Amino acid sequence: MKKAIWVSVLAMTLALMIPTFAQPAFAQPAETWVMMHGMINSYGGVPATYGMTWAYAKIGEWANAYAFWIPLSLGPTFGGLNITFTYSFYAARLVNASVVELNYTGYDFYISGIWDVNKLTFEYINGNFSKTIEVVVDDAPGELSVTSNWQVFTISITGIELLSGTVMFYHVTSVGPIPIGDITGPIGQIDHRVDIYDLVEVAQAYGSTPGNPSMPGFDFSIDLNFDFTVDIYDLTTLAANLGEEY
Amino acid sequence: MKTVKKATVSLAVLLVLLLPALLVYRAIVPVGVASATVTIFVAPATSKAPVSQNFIININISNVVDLYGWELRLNWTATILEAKNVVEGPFLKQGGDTFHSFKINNTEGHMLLDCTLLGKVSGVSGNGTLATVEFYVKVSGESVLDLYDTILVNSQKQSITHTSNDGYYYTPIYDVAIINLVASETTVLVTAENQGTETETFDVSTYYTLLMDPLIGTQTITLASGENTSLTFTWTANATGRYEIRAEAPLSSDIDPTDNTRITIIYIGYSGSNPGSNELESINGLHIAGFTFAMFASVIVLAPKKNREIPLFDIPAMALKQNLNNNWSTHSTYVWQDWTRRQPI
Repeated sequence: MKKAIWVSVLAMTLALMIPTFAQPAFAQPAETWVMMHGMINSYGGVPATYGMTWAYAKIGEWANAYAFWIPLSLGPTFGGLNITFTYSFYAARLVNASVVELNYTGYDFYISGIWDVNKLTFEYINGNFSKTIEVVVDDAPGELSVTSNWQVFTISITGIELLSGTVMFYHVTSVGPIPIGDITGPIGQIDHRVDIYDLVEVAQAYGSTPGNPSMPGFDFSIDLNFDFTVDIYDLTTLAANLGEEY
Repeated sequence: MKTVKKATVSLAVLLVLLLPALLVYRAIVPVGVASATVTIFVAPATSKAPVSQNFIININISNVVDLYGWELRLNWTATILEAKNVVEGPFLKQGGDTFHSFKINNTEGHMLLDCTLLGKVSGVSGNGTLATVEFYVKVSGESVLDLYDTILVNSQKQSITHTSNDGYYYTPIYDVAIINLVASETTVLVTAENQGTETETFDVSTYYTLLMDPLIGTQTITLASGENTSLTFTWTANATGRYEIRAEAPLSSDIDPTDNTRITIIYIGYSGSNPGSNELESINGLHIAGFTFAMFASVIVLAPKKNREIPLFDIPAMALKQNLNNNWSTHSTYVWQDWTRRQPI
């Protein structure tokens, strides 16, 4: 009889505890936003002349990622009777993200999806320029992976060589979306706010294009919409975020 | 040791001689002028506009060198004012094409203004207007127009050190009042006060009522806000009787016109044109005047005050007191009894 009572009590206790165990150990994670800038060091294992990547993402929902790089083989050329200047580079853009996660299977930050990669050539002749776009891969699967405690990254896109580099800056927050346009600050560094310093940075490069010898000042970091011209779209993109902090 | 003492004394003498010379030199010879302080300021410093009207402020800059871009925030009391419009000023445009961004938050009462030149150009130097802001006055009140988080950037992308001066808005109040009125047989003393916020120039007139409303006189005065002044009007009553003396200070746009007029009742207790010349006539005159006042006070004076719930008894009591003070006890008693039989209106 005593045994039966104890068994009943134990059963009731377990029954009461089951809902508790069924609840998740932690509350549903808050919305998380990530921004990352990195410098591309090598392309296909060969040091790149120069290259950068940017990624903005809302974890689990969407991501924007861009990269450009100039292999040693595509170094700028200058000269000729007509004072011709040629500037070529590769540009990769994430077209559609399928996985956007933090701490994903050993990666600190991971984006996979469909990418486009183009080779662009800007040719400047006597103050005029022409732009040539050559498709390298179109709608190719690829991934951006950040590892080693946010120190290094790789971009692996089917059809091109592996890109690897160093993370220059990253920011992860659950407070709210990270505003686009924090390029610089009073001392020439990112200051976690979009203000007149950023606007001036873009304004001074207004109208510039990559490698333009007659209008220097183009920088991929201020070409906010990655269309290879610093123009009103970049100013308005930045202006929309003026006053925002993160 | 002596040498040291001598040297010290010599040094002291030298300093005593040099100090006045230095002071004179500084007074007459212009010292190299340091660059003037760059200032962003609201102009005018004080703005005023009536309710339901707009007013405009400029945000100006002075003494700036090589200004390429600027950013500022402006804060105001959202319950009082509403920002209607912001326009870029002409100053930065002197340097070329510009780009500006203005964000207005009328719920919280602040705005963020940014403006920059475009391209590789030099900044602009000097003084001028950065922006013009138009406000609408929602309700009466006051508000600081607070400039804060101001940033100036030169063409080298460096910050420009500067100061900023806020502005201030208030709703002007136009309100004058007659705050005291004392009349005698020969003079009417009027005290007028400016209870508004603006200096006012207005007429103060006094009248007496017997058969008509003869004007005793008009004097034009100017009063700064909060000031008051007393004016003396000389008059001569031409008959015995009860006189209603009225002082008026009309002012257009006065927010409280109810106190622009004040009335007092006096008695001229004599007959003839020589006041006080006959005591008996004066006594009779007072008797009649007291009674007449009691008869009319409820109609002329009390009726407008009926809604204010002032006891009707106050007026005859005051009349009685005035009679008692003049030692006309017999007649005062008569007046009192007469009044107590009257019914309130």
